Amino acid sequence: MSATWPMAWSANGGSQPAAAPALAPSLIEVRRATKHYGRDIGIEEVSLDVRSGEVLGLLGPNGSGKTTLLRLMLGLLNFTSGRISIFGRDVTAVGKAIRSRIGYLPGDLALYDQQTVMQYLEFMMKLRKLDAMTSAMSLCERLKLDPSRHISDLSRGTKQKVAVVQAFMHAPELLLLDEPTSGLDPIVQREFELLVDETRRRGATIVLSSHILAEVERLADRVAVMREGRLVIVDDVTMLKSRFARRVDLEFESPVDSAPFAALPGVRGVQMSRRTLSCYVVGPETELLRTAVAKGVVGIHAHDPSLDDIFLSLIDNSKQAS
Amino acid sequence: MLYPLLLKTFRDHVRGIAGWVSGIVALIAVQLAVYPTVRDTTSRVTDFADSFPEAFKKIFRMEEYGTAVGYLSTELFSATLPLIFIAVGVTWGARVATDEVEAGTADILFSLPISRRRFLVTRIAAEVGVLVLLGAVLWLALVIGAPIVDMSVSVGRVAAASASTVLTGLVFGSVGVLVGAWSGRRSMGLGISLTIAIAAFVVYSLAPLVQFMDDINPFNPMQWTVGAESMKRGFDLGYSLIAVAFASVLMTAAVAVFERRDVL
Repeated sequence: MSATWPMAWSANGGSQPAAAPALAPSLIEVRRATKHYGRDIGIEEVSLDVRSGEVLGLLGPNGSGKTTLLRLMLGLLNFTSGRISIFGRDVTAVGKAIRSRIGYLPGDLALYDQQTVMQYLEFMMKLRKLDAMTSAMSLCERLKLDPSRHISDLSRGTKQKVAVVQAFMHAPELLLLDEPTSGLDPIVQREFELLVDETRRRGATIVLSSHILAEVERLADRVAVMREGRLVIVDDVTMLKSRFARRVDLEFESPVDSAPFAALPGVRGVQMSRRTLSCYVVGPETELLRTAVAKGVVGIHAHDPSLDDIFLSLIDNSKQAS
Repeated sequence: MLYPLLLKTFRDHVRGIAGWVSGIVALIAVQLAVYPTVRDTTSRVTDFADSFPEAFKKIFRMEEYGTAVGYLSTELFSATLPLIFIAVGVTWGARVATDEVEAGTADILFSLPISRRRFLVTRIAAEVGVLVLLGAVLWLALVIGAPIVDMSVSVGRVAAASASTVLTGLVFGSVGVLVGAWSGRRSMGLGISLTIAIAAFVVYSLAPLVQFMDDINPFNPMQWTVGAESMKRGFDLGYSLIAVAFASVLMTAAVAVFERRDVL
């Protein structure tokens, strides 16, 4: 990966949490949610809207507060302050009614080892008071999961498949997935991504936390980046990319003077290497291209920032700010 | 009540329950097997029992040892069976609110549309169910076994003594439930409730000898159950109601605490 420092330039500063544009109604409203564990901070003053029907990716290093936020949404933890409402209702007041419409996959997975996969899924259905056997069996088949096997005999990845089935089998309106592909092999990961895509297309909303940036980039409409319990930024994946510097390589027939390029607005990090001039650009590239053409450019290569670049840049910025 | 959870709880612990059932039946079989020898040598046994120091006789309530009622009271209902039921009550009670949390399975469980109150009530019901089952086994073993060794005891008295023994387990089990719900740790529930049970047993045992302990003994849960001496005197409704009320208050408090705590 290229050096991350030029990525710190963003068109609008890029470090302030962005509220969801008014495209679709908010399914989840997080308002100044704070959770402390004694002296330790779980999350601090997090405000966030998750729109109905979108996939929101939660990104952040270990201990950044992703799991705490998901567990607060489920009522597994009590708020130090703030509130979260889902489906327009406060999670602390009517948690049970809300949870009936949610599928959850925890990050630290533990199942009942003494049961078979089938017994486990039946137990979950009985507690949910619904019959989702057809859907559950279809998911098992899709993920190549044998329901007759004992859970104690399953590998970490296969247990993760069981957890995926229990989270999706009742076709919930909202899915909260904490590191959902952890332990899954690449083929099943691909199947999982298809499943998420289908679930979104049927109108469900998904919040997923992940360390796999490429996965979030493929699946998520928007990304929320967290660090040390605080929200660093929330934005569309596409918008987020456009607000960060793109690397542009310009090829010339012979070395050119880099000074005119360095003086252009929005252009930084200009370097001349043999016949190639590399730089980073934020905003329109019109002036850069005009100057390059005037200098006799013979080839242009533009590189969009990857989510990895943006993520590392944001975390880096956030560290510097704090 | 969450019946699927109740069934699963029993199913998960079926071996443990079978072990306790076998142990109680074996204990009663051994004690009943010895009884004919005691009965047939009443005068010598009575002399032998009388030879014990007065303090020892008071501690173990060794009265009328040569009679069936006295024998069962001394050998089973004054210490051995209550301690067994305390062990069952406390081990079950301490894990009522903690085993799912400590195993990590609580995350998915409490993400389901079930209330924590119903969860805990179900788990408490399972604990009470096991204690009642063991009490019924105890009663049945004595009712079936006593005639075999020509022991004449009232079925009603055996039922009263069995019920008091169940209450002993319930009272100290409820301490385990509360401490477990408050701390989230099974070891703490186990440790604190066993310490309280031992302290209660010491106070109850030494009450006939130490004035201070005799003064506080009416507030001692052991006195409300074992101290009622139901085998000799029949079912003590007053003490039993106090024991049930005590356990109910502690378990209600446990539910209230558990509903408000973080699932970590």
